[in-house]
Amino acid sequence: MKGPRGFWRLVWLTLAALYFTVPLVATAEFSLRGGAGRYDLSAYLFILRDPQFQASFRLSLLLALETMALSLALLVPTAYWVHVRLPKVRPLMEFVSVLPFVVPPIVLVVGLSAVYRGAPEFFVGTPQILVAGYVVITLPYAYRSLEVGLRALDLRTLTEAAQSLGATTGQILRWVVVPNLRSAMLSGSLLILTVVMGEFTMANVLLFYTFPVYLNYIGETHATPAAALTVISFGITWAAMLGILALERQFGARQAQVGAR
Amino acid sequence: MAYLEVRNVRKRFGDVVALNGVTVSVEQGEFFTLLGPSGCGKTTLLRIIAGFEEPDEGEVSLEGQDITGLPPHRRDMGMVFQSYSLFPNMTAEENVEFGLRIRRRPPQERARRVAELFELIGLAHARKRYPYQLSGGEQQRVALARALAVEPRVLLLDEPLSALDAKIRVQLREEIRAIQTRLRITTVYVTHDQEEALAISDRVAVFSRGRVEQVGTPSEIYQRPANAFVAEFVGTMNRLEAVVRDDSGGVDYRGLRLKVYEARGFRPGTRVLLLIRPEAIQLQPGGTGLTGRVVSRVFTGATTRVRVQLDLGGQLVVDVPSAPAKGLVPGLEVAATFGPDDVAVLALPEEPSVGQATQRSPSGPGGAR
Amino acid sequence: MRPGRGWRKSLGAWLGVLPFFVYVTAFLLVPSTAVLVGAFLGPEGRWTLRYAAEVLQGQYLRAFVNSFAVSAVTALAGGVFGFLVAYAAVTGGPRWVRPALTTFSGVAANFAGVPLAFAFIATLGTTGLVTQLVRTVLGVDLYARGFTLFSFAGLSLTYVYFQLPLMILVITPALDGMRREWWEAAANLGATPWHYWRYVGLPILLPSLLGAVVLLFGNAFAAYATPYALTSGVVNLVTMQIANVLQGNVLSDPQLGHALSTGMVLVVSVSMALYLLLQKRVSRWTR
Repeated sequence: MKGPRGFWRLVWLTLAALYFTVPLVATAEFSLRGGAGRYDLSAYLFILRDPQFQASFRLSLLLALETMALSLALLVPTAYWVHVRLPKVRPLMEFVSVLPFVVPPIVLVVGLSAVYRGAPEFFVGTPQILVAGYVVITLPYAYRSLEVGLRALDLRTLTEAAQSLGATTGQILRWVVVPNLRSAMLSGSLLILTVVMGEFTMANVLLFYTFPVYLNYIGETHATPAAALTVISFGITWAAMLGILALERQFGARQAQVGAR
Repeated sequence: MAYLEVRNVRKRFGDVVALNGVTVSVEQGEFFTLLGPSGCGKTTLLRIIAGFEEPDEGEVSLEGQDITGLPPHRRDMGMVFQSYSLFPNMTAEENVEFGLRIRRRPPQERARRVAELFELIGLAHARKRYPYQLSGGEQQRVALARALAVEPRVLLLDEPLSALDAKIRVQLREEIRAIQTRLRITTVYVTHDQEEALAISDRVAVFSRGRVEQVGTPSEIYQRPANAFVAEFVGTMNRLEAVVRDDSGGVDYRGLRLKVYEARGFRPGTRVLLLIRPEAIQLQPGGTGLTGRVVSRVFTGATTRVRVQLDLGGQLVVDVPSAPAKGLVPGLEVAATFGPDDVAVLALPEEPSVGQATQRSPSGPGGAR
Repeated sequence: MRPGRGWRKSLGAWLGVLPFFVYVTAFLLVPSTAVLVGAFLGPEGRWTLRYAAEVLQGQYLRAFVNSFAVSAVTALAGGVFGFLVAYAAVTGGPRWVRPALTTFSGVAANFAGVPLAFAFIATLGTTGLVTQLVRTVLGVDLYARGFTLFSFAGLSLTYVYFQLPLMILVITPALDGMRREWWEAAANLGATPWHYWRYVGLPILLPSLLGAVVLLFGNAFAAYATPYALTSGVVNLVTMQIANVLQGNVLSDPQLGHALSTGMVLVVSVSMALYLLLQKRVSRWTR
């Protein structure tokens, strides 16, 4: 790092580092305040003992798992068929996978409410309606993960090999496709987990008590435990991201090299 | 003092020593090539000359002035990179004009010069095209024109042909040389292709692992390599270990007496390496002297490469024009002959380690200047 | 699609992808259409522009203006800052800087929403760490001077926390495409750094930069959780208004919510479309 370029590089990177870390440090510090200038873990204990914490956390986790299951159940066969038999549908899939960005969660929940207001109780009254929306919201991320994974496989050849050995489509999906897509499915699932565990908009509007809603409620009433929850929440996101990275490394993301050097 | 001088330059990257005390002089108007395998330091030296790297030690001077510390945009040199150096957001024309625009030359002068250059490189019809619309060879021609537009004092080329197809490579190197000769511009050229270096250079510096092994004209480094590395790297070379017999050029190859003029500078009894080029050897069916048997023949078009296993031991690779070579079939007994002038001689150290064979006494040709 | 046996083969595939498209239709397309249509449907079931007009006036218009302003400001701030940081990381420095930055950006971009709001309250709230530090170290009482986190400025500052990493993630591939040879060739031809940026660097990067900023704009415009948790409606934004209508906090027809939503979708669609268009432009040059 020599000369003026090195100086500015240091400046911007340091500023970015500060901007990123100061709020986190502040939150951690805040969460450890025990009142009267002391520091202790009372906020964390408060949270962990709160039955609503466990309930809301479990609900969000459950919703995340259901979203993962439904999402993969829909996407994996579809992505498979498009890759192997219907390549012309690819652009349509790309377009559809980007659509959720154009319909923000707040708008989606307006639409869902409008359309399914009169739907049976088991659907609308339970938190599972959220899953319906969550699958849509996480669609871009899940699809992208699967796409990357599928592109790395030569699916057509694998399918033909399996078929020549007498496998049906179901068997192919189960024994050939899914095992090879494990990494991609896992990293997609982690992304879904991150998104669902942090999704507030739809849950709040529809009055379901998920983890982020609980977090908000605590924030309105108890400041220090809210900071503690924030730290916990950040920890989860961080862990999920590291998990995705570890998977990507194992997967060996291919990068196209343009031009000799 | 030469036009462009590099004195005692040393450069390391972390643990790796890229240049280990290199001194090179380039005369004005000369086409000077830095030749060597990958990683030998030739590109590093070029980049130091251009100003993109700073040497740890040593100086670079141009026309007597020390430019070692000068940033690249003040050195008044033109550089052609290996690939992808044209600005993609500009047409070929705008690319070539770039240097002139920066120097605020008046529009008429710019237009005239650009037209001139496009004529020179033969791409007047492609002026308005963008780089992605040009082939590799065309891009490099435009890059050359761009470098020449500002009439730099030195032209630097960093393996400009490596990324191109073989046929284009040969064609383009001729063009580059022709342009250089016409403009009489001092040029430093980097390549790992020894055939290319021999074909177009006035002088060549052969590099290996950060040092200069030999500097000379193409003919000199080909016929009179200073050491085994140069001999091996430039073309194919036959090697026979012999012992000097007397001081009139007689050497002893495993009992057979041969006459080699270059051996005259060596003390009798010295172990030497005889270096003979494949095309310098003639084969006579059924002759006497250095006899052997034809082992294989490979037809490569104009010449046929014949391998001969010598009766005394060792092998010779001989290039024979294909027409008369028809009779040289495997199994045939032949005798190899060569003129006493056509052999280079290197002294061998006491241990038979060929890699350390060196040139003979300083009065001879070869060696880093 | 070929007739005969080929047809039947593809048929299986078409059936295989059917569930997905049915799902998307049911839970994305239909609701969206319902919103778009509902915006123009009066209570009697007839076509009307009443709600569209209402949305473009008074507090709703102000909501759009505010959302627009916050999004524009944070898109530019995040864009410029993100570009400088990404450039610093991509073009040099120790080798660990770049992967560290990309990883952290991946996390930070997802950190938006309620936790982010609380993190900033812990930082710049009335008893926040930085507020206190500024008071003890610099002797300046931010809140006494009129600063408050629960304002346009505070909200923007918070938004940048997820805008900045998004910019870094989006612009880094574009920066990778900037070849070292262009910089060196320019320098070799006599260009100073200024010349390079003016004639080569910025022209090449401009589509990517603009596209990224536009993407950031759409991202901020659609934010709900962060402003809600931070300001609970103190700052008048479109997303807040939509939620108010939906939750029945306001005495109005649901179609108003639909009209607001339609306006939002329009803005976000335009920004998305611009982004894609600008992306296309980039690939033309740097194959």
